[in-house]
Amino acid sequence: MDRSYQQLDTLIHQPARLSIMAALAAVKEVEFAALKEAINISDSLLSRYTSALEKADYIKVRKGFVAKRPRTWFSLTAKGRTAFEQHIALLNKIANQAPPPIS
Amino acid sequence: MSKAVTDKDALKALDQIKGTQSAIKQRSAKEYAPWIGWGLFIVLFYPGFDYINPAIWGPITWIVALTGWFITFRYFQKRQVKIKTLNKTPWYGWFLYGLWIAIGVAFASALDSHFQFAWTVAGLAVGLPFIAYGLKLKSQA
Repeated sequence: MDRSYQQLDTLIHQPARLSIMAALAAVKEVEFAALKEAINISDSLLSRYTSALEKADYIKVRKGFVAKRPRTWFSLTAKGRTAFEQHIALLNKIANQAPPPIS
Repeated sequence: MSKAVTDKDALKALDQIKGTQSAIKQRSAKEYAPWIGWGLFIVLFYPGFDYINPAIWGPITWIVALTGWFITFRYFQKRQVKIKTLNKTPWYGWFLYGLWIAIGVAFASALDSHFQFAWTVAGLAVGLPFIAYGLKLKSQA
């Protein structure tokens, strides 16, 4: 039996964190509110999940101001991008192992 | 030990990734929009110099161009604060297209008095590659 799923990164595979990683992989940098809106998640959950991803060095957090208001931006680190690409490759491998339909 | 992930789970996760990436891209600045917009502007406004008095058409073209520049600038400024995209056009791409516009204007100005449709030809030669490149970017978005 293939054990590909055992190599899946559990930190990334959790649905909300997977969405965060997917969103960040598609662009260079995303502001907190835009990310929250795109993945439809609460402020507190987004903070919690991004902290976990930051701790694993998968994402980078940048803080700054726009019109004197504090803002936070997220981006993928090189390590995060590699981990995400490997995760997708594994998912594709698992998905392609579906048994052929019985005719 | 990880919980077994079936092929259905994997497909669901891949769909989720696709959906999220499309949602974030929809909220980001569309790089193809200025290429198509400015291409249309050139194709539509350059030929005017062949048919309308340049003393009238010139200021109209300038007003539209400045308004367009302001709208383009604001559009990218507002969206890039929220989402910075992975630019597909390198800086030298923008430079070469700027040069191409200058060549078009120089060509049309030089031939204006000898050839009746100089500005129409220049407009098509300069504007159509802009539109084509914009459509190529759009198909990749």
